[in-house]
Amino acid sequence: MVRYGMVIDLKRCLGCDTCTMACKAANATTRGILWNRVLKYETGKYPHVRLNYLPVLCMHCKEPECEKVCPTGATSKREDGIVVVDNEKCVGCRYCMLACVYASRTFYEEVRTFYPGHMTRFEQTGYDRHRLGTVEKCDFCLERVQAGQEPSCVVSCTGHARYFGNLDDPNSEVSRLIKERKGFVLNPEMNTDPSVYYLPSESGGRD
Amino acid sequence: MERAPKTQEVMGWKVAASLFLIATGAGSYLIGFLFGLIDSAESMTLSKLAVILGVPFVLVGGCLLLCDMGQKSKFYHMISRPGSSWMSRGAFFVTLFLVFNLIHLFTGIWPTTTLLTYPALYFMVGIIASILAVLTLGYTGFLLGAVKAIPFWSSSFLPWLFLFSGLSTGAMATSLLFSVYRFAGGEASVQSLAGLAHFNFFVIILEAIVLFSYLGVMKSRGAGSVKTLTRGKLAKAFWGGVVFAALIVPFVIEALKSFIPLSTAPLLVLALLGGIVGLLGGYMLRHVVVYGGTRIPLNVQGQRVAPPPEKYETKVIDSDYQSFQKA
Amino acid sequence: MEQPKNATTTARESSSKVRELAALSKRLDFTKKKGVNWGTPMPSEAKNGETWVYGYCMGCMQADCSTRNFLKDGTLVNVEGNPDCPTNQGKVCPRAIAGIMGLYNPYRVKVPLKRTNPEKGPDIDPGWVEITWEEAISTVSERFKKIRQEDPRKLAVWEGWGAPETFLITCKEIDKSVDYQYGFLIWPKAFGTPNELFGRNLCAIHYATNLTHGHMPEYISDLEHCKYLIAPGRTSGPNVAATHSTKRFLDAIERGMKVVTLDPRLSPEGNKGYKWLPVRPGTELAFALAMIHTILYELKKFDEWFVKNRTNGPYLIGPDGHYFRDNTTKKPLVWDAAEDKAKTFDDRTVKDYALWGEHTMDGVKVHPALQLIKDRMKEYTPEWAAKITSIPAVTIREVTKEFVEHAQIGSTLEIDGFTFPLRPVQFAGSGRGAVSQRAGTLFDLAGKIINELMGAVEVPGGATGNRCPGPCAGTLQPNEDGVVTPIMESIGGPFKFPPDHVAMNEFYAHSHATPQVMARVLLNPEKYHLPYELEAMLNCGANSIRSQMDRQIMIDGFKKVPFIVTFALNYDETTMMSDIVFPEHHFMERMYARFYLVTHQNLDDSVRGLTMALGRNAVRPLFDTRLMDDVLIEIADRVGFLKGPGGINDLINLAFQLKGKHRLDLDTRYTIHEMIDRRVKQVFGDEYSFEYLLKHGVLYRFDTPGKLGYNYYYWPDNKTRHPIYFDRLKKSGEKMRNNLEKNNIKIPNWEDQEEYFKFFEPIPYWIAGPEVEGAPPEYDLWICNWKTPFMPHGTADTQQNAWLAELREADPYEMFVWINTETAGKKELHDEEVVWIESRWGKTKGKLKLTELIHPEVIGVPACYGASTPMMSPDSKKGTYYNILLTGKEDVGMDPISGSVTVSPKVKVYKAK
Repeated sequence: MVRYGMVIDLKRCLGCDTCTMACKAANATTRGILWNRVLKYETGKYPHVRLNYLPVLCMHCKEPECEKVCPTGATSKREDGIVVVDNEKCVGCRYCMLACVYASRTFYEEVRTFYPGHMTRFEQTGYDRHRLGTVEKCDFCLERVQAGQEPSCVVSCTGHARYFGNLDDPNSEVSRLIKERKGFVLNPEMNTDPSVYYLPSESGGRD
Repeated sequence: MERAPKTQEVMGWKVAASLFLIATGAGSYLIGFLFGLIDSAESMTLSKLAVILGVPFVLVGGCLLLCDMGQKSKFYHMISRPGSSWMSRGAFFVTLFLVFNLIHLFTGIWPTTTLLTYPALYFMVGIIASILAVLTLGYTGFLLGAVKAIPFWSSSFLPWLFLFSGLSTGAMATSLLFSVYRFAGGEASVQSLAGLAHFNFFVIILEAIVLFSYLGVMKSRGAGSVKTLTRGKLAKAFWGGVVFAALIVPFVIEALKSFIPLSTAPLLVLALLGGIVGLLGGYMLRHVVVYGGTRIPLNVQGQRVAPPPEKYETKVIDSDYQSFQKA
Repeated sequence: MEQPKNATTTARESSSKVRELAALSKRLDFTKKKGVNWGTPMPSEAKNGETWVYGYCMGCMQADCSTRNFLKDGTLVNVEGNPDCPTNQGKVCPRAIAGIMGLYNPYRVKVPLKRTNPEKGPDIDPGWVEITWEEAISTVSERFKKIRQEDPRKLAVWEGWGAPETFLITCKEIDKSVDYQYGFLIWPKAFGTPNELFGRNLCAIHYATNLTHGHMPEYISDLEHCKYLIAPGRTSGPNVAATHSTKRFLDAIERGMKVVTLDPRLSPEGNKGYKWLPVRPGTELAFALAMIHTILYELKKFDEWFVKNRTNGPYLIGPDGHYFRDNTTKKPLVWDAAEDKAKTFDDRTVKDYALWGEHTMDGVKVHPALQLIKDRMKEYTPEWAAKITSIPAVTIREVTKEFVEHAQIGSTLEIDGFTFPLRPVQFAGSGRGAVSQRAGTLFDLAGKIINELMGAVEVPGGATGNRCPGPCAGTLQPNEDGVVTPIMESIGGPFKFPPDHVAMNEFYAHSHATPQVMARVLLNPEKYHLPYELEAMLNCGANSIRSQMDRQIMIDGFKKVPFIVTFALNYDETTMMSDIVFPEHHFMERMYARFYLVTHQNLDDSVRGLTMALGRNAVRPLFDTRLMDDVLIEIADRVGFLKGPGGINDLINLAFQLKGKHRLDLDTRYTIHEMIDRRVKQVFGDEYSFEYLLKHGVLYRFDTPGKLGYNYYYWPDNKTRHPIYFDRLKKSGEKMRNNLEKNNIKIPNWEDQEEYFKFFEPIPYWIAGPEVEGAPPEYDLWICNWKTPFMPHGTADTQQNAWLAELREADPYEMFVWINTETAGKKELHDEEVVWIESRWGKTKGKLKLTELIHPEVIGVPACYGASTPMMSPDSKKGTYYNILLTGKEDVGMDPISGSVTVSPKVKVYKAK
C-alpha cells in the first residue's frame, strides 16, 4: 500500500523560499496564489531570540476536513493518500478553505498577471491548467509523482531539507527519518492525521 | 505572535446576508403556517403574508449565496454530498423548502387556493414545509459548526441561536409587511399583529438567553472572537447591531405591541419601526458571527503560529527618497 | 622543523559523519569519479513539444549552478537543478527558477536604440528612436576608433555583476598562474584604455587576502573540518541561498560546527548558529583588536610554531617601522633566542625564533614584529571594546577562549598519507558588512592576525583560499623577503602624475574600485589633475547610479560624458542616460559556457580541487537582442584591436592559457563560441568540445582533491611565511607621500591629508571614523543592510522580476525597515508605520517592522529596492532605497586602502506624514 507523504527538516530549512518558487513554476499559479508558503516567526526576546521557518502546504490529511465539507465531491482523497480537487466539479463556495485546519487552500478568483496588463508566454501556457472561480491547492505534483518523480519543492529545496516517499513503508527514507528524528505533525489535536511531517530544528546551542 | 489573530476573510457579507435572508424566509413561512392553523379570519391575512414572504427572502438569499461562488454555473453539483457535507444538506433543505413553499403559495394563496379545500393535503404540505423550514433555520449553525478550525463556530448553541433569530426576524418581517399592507389600504385586523408580537416577545427572550450563553461558553474556547465582538473591531456591530437592534429594541417594541392596548396607527408604526430595526439586527447577528470567526493557530509542537493569510494582500509602500549631496 | 603533535585524526574519520548523513538522505558524492566526467546527455529532440536543455543560472555573480531548463513548444516552463553537477547537485535557489519571469519580462529592452533628447536624466524621456544593429554598431565603432586614435584613455569601460560570465569583459577567467599578479579586463586592455571601472566598491574586500594569502577575492572557510567559525558581517552561503555553499554550511552544522555570527541583525545562518553577537555596525574592528589582546595578554596561548615558522612575526623591525635588514644581503633579520644573535630569516641554523623582547643592533633598537603587535594591542582590552561594540567583555573573552580551544593548536590531520596541521577554526573576516566600513581593511587585516595566531591559515579547517590550489598557481610562493608574494590589489597600481585613471587609481593604488571618486572627477577634472576629459563610456553590466552611493553626483558626472553606450537588459538609470543602447540577451538566451571558480563563501571535499565547465543552451531570443561578446568582437574588429599582438585574440590566448594548436591565430577572427570550444579542449582534451559540453551540461574533473587541494601541501613547514606584520601597507603610504612631494600635490579632496595617511600603518589599530564618532546626537541610530535570497544583487534584474516581487511582498520581513521592538516603543513608533529614515547624506521612506532580531541601536533595510525609472515595472518602484543614505566623499566615507565606503551611517527615524 502506498501512502505518499513528505518530511520537512526544520533543522536544515532556512527560509529561502526556493520551494515556494519551484511550486509556482511547476504549477503556474497566478500572482498572489501560493500553494506552498514559508512562514517566518520569532520566538523569544532580544538577544535570546530565534527566527523560525515553517514551510506549509496542503498536508494531505488521512482524515481531511476539506473532503468532509465539500458539497460537490470536487475534493477527494485518492487511494495513494493524495487529496485532489477536481476543478470541473468545484463551485468555488470556499467552504473547504474555512474547514482546512492549516489554511492551505487558495481561491483562484481573478487572473492577476505578473506584469500588469501583460500576460507572459509562460502564463499563457500555464493558466489553462487552472479554472477561474475554483479552489486550488498543492496536489503533491500528482502528474510528476505518477511519472515516478518527486514533487517540485522536494527536488529543488536548496537546503536538501525536504523528502518524499511512502509513509506506509517502514523502510522508506521518510519513515526512517520520522522515527529516528522524532518527526511531528502540525495540530495533532485536530486528529486530521496529516501526511506532512516535520523534523525538529535544534537551536545549535543558542537559547 | 504579537498582535490579535486575524478573523477569517473567506466568507464575507454575501454569506452573512444570505444566511440572514434565508433564515428570515424560513422563519417567516413557519410563522405563516402556524398562524394559519389558528382558524380565524384575522390570522388568515397575516398567515398568507408570512407565507408569501418566505419565497422572495429565500430566493434572494439563495441568489446571494450563488453570487458568492466562483463557478456559479456548476451550482447543481452542490447537492452531491449530503452524506458528509452540511453545505450539501443545506442545499437540499433550502431547495426543497423553497419548492414546498412555492407549492403552498401557488396552490394555497395565489393564483389558486385549491389546496385549502383539501385540509389533509394542506396540512401535509405545511408540515413538510415547516420541517424543512426548521431544518433550514438550524442547519446554518451546523454548517458553521462543522468548521473545526474556527472554535467560535463550534457550539451546540449556534443552531438554536439561528433558529430563534430566524423566527424572530421572520416575525418582524411579517409585521413589517403587514403594516405596509395596511398602510397601502389592505384590509386586515391588527389583532393578529399583537398576537404575533406576543409570540415574538418570548422568542426574543429565548434568543437573548441563547446568545449570552453562547458567548459565555465561548469566552474560554473562542476568547479572541468574543473579544473582537465585545471590545474589538466588531464591537459597534455587536452592541449596536445585535444587542440593541436585534434584541433590546425589538423586545421593547414587541412588549409594547403585545401588552399595551394600542390603537391601530401606533401599532402599525411600531410594527414598521420594529421590523426595520429588527431585520437590520438580524443581519448584524449573522454578520458578527461570520466576521468574528477566528482560526485556530497552527500548533508547532506547542508553539502557536499564525496560519497563512487567506487573502492576497500586499503592504509594500512606494519608494521615496532624496539625496542631500552635491558635488 | 616539525611542530608538536598532540592529536592526530584522519580525514576519513572526521568526514564519516557527513557521509553517514549523506547516505541517509541520498546526497551525492561526486569525488570518487576519476578522470573527466560529464552529465547525462539531454534529449536530442522534443517529444509532444516538450523537452529540456542544459543551462546554468546567472541569478547571482557566481553562476555555477547547472540547470535543466524545461521547454514546452518553445516556451520555458520550468527550471530545475542538474543532479549531475557536483556543485549544486540538483538544487537551485529561487532566482534560478525566477529566471523564467526575467526572460519574459515585457519591460526589457527589445531593439537597438538611439536617444534624440539631448537632456539626460534617469527620469527624463530620452526620446528613443529604434535603429538598426548596423547603425548602432557603426556609430559606436566610428566614435571609439576616433577616441582610440586620439587618446584611448578617453573611453571608460564599466564592468558589473550584470555580466559576470562575459569573458571579454571580466577578468575572473584569468586563473592559475597566468598574470595573476595583476588582473585585467580583456576588451579594455586590448583597446588600450586604463579606465576599467567597477560598479562594486560596496564589497571591496580583497586587499587583505591578496596580501596575506596571495588569493583573490577573499579567503573562504574549509567546512570539511572547521569546528568553530566566527563570521562577522557576512554570509557563508545561507543568507542568500547560494545553493551549494548553503548545503555545505548545513552539512557542517549537522556535523557539529559552531558558528558565531557578529552581526547587528540575526541572519538565517546566525539563527542556525551557536552564538549571535549583536554588534554596532562599523565597530567590528574593536572586537577583532580585543580578541588579539585577549589571546596575547590573557590566554597567552597561540600557535607559536606557526607564527615562528610561517609568518613574519619573528622578523626584526627597526625604528622606521620596516624590516631591519642585513647590511650585505639586505635580507630581513630574525633573532635566534638560542644563540642570542641576529640571523637572516632564511638561515637554517636558527634554533628558536624570538617573538618578544628588544635588541640592539648597530646602536639601533629593534623588536620582533610580534612584540610590536603585542604592544599595540595593549590598550584594546575587552572592556574597552565592550564600550564601543556593545558586546559584553565577558562574551568577548568567552568567544576568544572557545576559539583558541577549538583551534586544537598542535594537532595534525593525515590526508592521503600527508600530515597537515589541523586548525579547525576561522575568523572569517572578509565579509562586506564589516569590511565596507571606514577602517574596513584594517578590520580584515586584524582578522588575518587572529587566524595566523591560531595557525589556521591554508590548512585543513582554517581559512583557505583554494582558489587555485597547486604549485602552478604560485600561490603562497615566498618573495625575496620570504613572505607570501602579494597579488593584485595588494601590489597596488603604479603612481603616475598627471593621473591616467579617471577613478584616480593612482591615488588609491590598492583600491578595488572607486566609482564615487570618478563621479567627482568628471565634475571637477582640474581639482583632480586629470589631464583629459572623458569622451565616452561603455557600460557592460553595471548600474552605478543605483548600486553605488552619491546618486545625484553620479548622475551629474554621467551628464558630463558626451557619449554613453550601454548593453542593456532593462531601462535602468544607466540605460536612460545612454546615447546608444545595445539590447542584450537575457541570460537564458545566451549560448555560453562558464568555467567554475571556487565560490566566495566556503568549500569542502565535495568540490575541493574541482575543475569544471558548465554549458548553457539558449532559449530562442524573444527580441532583437544579441550576445554582448558578439557585439564586442565586431566593434573590436572595426576599431582595429581584435587581431595582432596585444589584441583580443592575444589576450584570450593568455587568459584561457591556450597552448599549441589550441591557440588562436592572431590574425583570424573567431566567434566567442569558437574561443570557448578551444578552451574546453585545452582544459579537458581534444575529444571534448563546446558542443559536447552543451549536450552534457557539465564537464568536470577533480584535479586537486584531497591533500592536493590545500596550499600548505605545496609550501609546507617553513617553506613560506604569511605577513602578520603589514610592512607593505606602511611602504605604500610612504611611497604615496614621496610621490605627492615629488609632484608638489595633495591627495585631491582630502581636507586633512593625515586623515588619509593614518590608515597606512603596519599594525591595525582602532580608527573610529566619522559615523562612529562624528555624527550629531540627533542621529541616534545606526542603519545596516544585507543581501537576501530574493536580491543578493541586481544581477539578472532581480528588482523587476515579478516572481521574486510576489514572494518578497508575501515575506513578513523583506520589504520592511527592521527596528527593535523596545526601541520603537521608546520612540512611540508602531508596527507597519511609515517613516522617514534620514542620514546626513540623504533620506528614504520605509515601513517599519518591529522585531527582536536586531540590535536596539540599529535599524536594518534588506537588499536594494525602490530606485527605479519611469520605464521600469511598477514592482521596481516599491520598497526602501538604501544607498541614498550613504556618502562616498573621500575624507568622510571612504576607506583609502580599499576604496570602499562606510555602508552603515548613523540615521534618525521619524514618522512620515
